[in-house]
Amino acid sequence: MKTYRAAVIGCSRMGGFIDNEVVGAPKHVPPYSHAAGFYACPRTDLVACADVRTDVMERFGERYDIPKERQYTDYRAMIANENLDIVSVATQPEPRAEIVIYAADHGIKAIYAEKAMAASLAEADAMVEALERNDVFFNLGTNRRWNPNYDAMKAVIDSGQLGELKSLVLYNNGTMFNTGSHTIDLVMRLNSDVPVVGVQAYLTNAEGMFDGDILMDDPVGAGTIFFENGVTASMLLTPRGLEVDAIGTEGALSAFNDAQEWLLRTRQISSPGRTSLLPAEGFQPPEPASSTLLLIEDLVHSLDTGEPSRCGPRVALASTEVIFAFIESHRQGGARVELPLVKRDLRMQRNHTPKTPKYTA
Amino acid sequence: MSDKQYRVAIVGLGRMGSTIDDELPADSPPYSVSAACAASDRLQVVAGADIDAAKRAAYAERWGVTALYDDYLEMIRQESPDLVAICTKGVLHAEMSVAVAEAGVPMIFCEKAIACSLAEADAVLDAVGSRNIPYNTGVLRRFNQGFHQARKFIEEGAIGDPKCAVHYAPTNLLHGHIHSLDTLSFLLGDPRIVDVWGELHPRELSLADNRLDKDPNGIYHMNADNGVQLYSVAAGGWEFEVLGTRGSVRVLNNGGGLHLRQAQDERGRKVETVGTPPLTPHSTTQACLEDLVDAHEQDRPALGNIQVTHHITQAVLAIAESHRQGRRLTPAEVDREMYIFHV
Repeated sequence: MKTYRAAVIGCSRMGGFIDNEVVGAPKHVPPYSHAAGFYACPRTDLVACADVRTDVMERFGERYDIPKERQYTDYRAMIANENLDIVSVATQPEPRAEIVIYAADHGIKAIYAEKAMAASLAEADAMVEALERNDVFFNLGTNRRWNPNYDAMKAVIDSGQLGELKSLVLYNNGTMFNTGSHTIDLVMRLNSDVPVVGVQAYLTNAEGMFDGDILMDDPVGAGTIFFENGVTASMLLTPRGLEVDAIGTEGALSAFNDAQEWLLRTRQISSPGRTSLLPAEGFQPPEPASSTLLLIEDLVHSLDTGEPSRCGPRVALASTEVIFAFIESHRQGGARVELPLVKRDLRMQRNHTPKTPKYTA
Repeated sequence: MSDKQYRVAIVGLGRMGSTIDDELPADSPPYSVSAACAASDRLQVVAGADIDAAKRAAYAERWGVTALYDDYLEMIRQESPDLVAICTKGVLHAEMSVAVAEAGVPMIFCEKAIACSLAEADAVLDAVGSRNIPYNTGVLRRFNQGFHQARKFIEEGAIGDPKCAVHYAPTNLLHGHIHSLDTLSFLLGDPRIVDVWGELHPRELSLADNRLDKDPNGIYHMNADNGVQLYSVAAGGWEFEVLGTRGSVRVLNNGGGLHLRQAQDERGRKVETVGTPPLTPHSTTQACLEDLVDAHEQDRPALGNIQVTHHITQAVLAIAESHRQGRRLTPAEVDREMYIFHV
């Protein structure tokens, strides 16, 4: 079968080295980084990389067998020279839109973009426009969308075993761009990507973070997402890690410790005259698997067949819009804001100092 | 604890006063005020009042109490009860609480909620608080041993520092969230609520006339002065959870069980279920009324005293005020005349 030529732009933590941070962690099945995923996937050849930091790129090249001549400090030159099919954009969010749009406009057929999608909604809009105009397949690195455990959770919801889904409760929303991008995407996936109609939220640490329409850091947020089908998602800030409940009219399914443990309860007669939510049989989590690899295989499938990928441009845009709705609600004193947002030019622009990735396990 | 048996008079001889046990499974602990008093060595119902003669007759037949009145103030004058239980419709709670307090009754139980407006709640606070009358309302999870066990876990540090508390159920304000917020408050040691965001459902509900003639459903998010965030989730079946830095405790199935999870690692992120002792069914109404007696004898505030009750009533009304203003606000910003009917 055809193999696709892949390259990574942004060779640091998520681009190439995060596997070293999670060795043995049951919830992170390797491969985890973009490069490790391409390296492991039999349908992709990792042939080139780009980064403005040559020291990081050299270590990346050593790890993934990328020769010096295929290590680029200018991603444009790499795209021009390497005849690539797939590009990963594993940079920080601020430069992401420019790179994705350039790649889409210069012949790349599939893009794996790290989350968050973009630093502003206007930039995310421009990404969608370029991706659709060029028929480019796209997946955003919100990995739980490919996690088999959450697929199984969604299957329980879709089966009707919980009755009518009423609420999703997410227990650790965290920073909006870094973590909220994951959590928001997850609840949208669990609710079958039904459109969001409103958001009410507040940011716990936003004081002094705004300079006009510039957001100078990634804020921590909590709030409620209102979906078109009447489901609400409560995005809480608690000391827990990433845990999520799905509550329906006839039961509840809880995913503890980021889907490592489960509690399925359904409405049953607990004693004469009383019904309670009691532990129920019937939930068998699947074998764990690498969500990064599944994401890449999803893109490969799209390239093979022309079928849409699981987190195409508009799916990614929808969850990105919710991030900005959290911020806008906070700026309006906690008011509920309706989607689509009118204001789309607020931009996160951090004074970000790049970190050195963990080169060894 | 003395051996004294206290004289109880009930105002309103309907459901909570007399008959609600008929709606429950046969093995349920006593729930109505009359049933709870019958189960208690410390309480005896000696009189009752209701404007409905049929209810008075039914009450006499059921409970054998003959000192029955159509005028509750006349009942108080004639019978000098130690404790009056106000079990009438919600719109009468405030007026009756004030009148019973002013009549010199030493202990008062009042069905929830105590008021339809903050102005009414203020009047109850003034009448009851100025006389230091032990006062409990029918927010009975506060007197449920399952919730006491959960609060004990929290107080003893079993979940680390509490950071977040969640109520799970769709419900209305003064009939339902008066329970939900009181219970979260109890679990957390009754902190002060410092700000409130709320929304009423359906969202089109308008408070333009400063009045709602039907108790509306709503959701809230609040911050307390101990740094804990309080949330309502409009789904599930009356469960409550407090989440801390080292774990969480959830009261399952409306007090039917506990789910305690504790951290197994240094960071407190990997939490596992820990076994808890089984809970024993008991009468929360009896515990509530006997708490009034203990408070009276020990000269201490009742567990659900008027100061706490007033504060929680104000915070619940703030949900509606936040809905009206479309923003987060402090409980002090509630329009004191805003009126919400409740049953």
